[in-house]
Amino acid sequence: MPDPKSTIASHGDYPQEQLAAPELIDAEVIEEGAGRNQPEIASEKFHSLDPNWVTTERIAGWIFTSVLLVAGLIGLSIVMFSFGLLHVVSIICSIAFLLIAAGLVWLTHVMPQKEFNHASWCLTDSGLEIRRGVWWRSQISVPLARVQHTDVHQGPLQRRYGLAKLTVHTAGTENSAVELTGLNFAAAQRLRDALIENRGGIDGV
Amino acid sequence: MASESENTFPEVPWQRVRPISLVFVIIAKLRQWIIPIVVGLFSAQQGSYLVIGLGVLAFAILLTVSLIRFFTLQFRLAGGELQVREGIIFRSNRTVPVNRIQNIDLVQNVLHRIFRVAEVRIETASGKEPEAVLQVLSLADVEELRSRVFVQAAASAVGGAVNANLESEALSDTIGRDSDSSFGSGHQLDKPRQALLALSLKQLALAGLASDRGLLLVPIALGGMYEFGRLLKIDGDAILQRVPQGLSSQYMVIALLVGLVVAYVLLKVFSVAWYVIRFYGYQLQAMGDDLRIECGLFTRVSATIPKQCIQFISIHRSWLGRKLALASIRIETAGGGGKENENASQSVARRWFVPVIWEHQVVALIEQLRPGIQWTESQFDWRPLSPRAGTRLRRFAVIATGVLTLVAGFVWRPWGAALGLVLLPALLWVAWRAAKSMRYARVGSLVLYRSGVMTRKVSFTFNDKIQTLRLSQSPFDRRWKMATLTVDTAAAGPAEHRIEVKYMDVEVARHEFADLKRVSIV
Repeated sequence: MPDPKSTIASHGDYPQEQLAAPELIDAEVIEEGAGRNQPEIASEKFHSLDPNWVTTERIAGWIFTSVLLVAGLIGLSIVMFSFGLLHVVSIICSIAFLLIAAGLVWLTHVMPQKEFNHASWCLTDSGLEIRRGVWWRSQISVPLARVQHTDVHQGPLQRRYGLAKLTVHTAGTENSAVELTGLNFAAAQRLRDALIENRGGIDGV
Repeated sequence: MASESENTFPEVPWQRVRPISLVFVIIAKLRQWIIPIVVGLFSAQQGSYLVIGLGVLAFAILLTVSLIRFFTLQFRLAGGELQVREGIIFRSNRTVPVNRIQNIDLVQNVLHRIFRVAEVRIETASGKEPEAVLQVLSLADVEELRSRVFVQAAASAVGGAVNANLESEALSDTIGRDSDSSFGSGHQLDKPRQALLALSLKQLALAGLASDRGLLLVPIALGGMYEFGRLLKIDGDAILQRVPQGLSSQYMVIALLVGLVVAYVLLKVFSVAWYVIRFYGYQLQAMGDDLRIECGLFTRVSATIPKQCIQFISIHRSWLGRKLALASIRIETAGGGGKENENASQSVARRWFVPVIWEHQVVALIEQLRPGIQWTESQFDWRPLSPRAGTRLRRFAVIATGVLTLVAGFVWRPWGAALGLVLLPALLWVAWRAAKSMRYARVGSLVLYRSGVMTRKVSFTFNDKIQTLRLSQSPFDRRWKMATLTVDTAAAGPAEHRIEVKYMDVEVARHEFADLKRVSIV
């Protein structure tokens, strides 16, 4: 499993530095494990997600993948049984099964770590910025004054690991609900409070 | 059971809709039920009274529900809120803060006009449905409601701003008192009306000629012909057999050409008719901080849009329109929701905000829509996209041609491959035009984007209307050192254009993202 570049850089002047950076989102400027140690929310630093998120993603992934693999194995054994072990069809099917299984295992086990490495968030005076994506990368910024309401959501698995998903709703159309998964539950609540305070009479439209 | 707000202002009387509403409630229900009624009648003809009995029962129940709603619907303006209550068993009290009201629209079909009443829709930024539908009010009532709502909204907006700045307590006091007293005492504020635009029949006809709206009628016409033919039991084959056989190919070609010309002329006639029926007597007026649109030949629509509610403005210039020096302007206001359930008034107020306008009038009109706009379109600092965008689009055209040629060559062996000869120059031309037309600009508080191959669209929003910003990169973008910058606004859709700037140079895109993030705080 590839380990992330886990260098912690100090980056008070993050935006400028980021402009000159060669990649849209680079993993080096993420503050490690920020969700754990009572982070300062509005610190203009990019926080990474809670490391437990990788675990929950893997558990959820493995549940799904194991069902698929068992179904695939049953299918493969039926094929082998009807054609014979060394028949061309059986061999082709076995190879295909192995390739797909390898892909699935990779997606289930390696992908969450990669996603974790590429996901980060930051709350500044100008709003909440979320970066994510391994292949298709994006960074999205929600100005504070545009936040309409927020949800903090926990599934059973997330509750077990103390995680939460924060959804920020704006009056927008395409990105009217911006989701931030894999937050530490306490961090999610603090972030929510930080997002909805000081909005005064602004109606955001 | 009574809500708090209901008791807060006991002195303000509740108002009801006009008694004539009864007629419109019944008609509206009948219209919804037109298909079941027809089906029921048909089956009754064939002696099945069960269906019609059940139908009548269901209709009666639903009609009763509507009637209860009608008899119990009451509304009033009190304490800066519009309150609407209805129902007996399931009572609903709805409270809409007046300064959240985005627009008040009127719809009048022919019947409404005979009785001099109108259906009123009140919209806020939330949701897809109008916040309240008052069916029906007299025109005088509507005018009063409108003036009161917008006076209160303007007062509270100004009051809020003043309070926030703590500039002048005295001023905010006056305004505060004003907004409280403006209801109940019959406070009338005659805002000066300023005509911004009126459309002549000639302009509407030209707009119809330049458009293909008539295509809308094709499915309706086909459906009508099918139903008509079935009803009269016309035998299509019998007609075909009467067509003289053994005509020479020359005649067939001529007949085909004549048919095409007739179809084209009909299309244009329908398009012109559509424009005239929809927008006859179009008038755009400015009333203080509001815009008022009125139009329609049979069904008259009147929409009021507060200027500060405009989220997005889009100028469209079709290919034929450019030849005739015509343009059209669409706007987006928050609320009213998506395309699917857009009603007539919403459609006019947004999608067809200015259905057609002479090119030389555009500048003056745009500058009226929001104070502080200097519309010098050709002098804007239109920034081209990444210098590699042209190459990327051309390469995409070549690859697309290759794939399509292979497929065509395989399906229609071997001459299908000739398709590539036609496709390549066409797609390269499109790629070239697309790359040439895509431009991005920032002028003052405006964020502008221009694109379009045949129909040129110039759209802009304002720094303070940006809802979210998004910068994204696909693996291909990374390879070409490009990124896509998307500016999301509220209730996007009617403009049929949005600020999604593709093929930006990644450094420029990042810089713009950071800068827009900075300015969108307001």
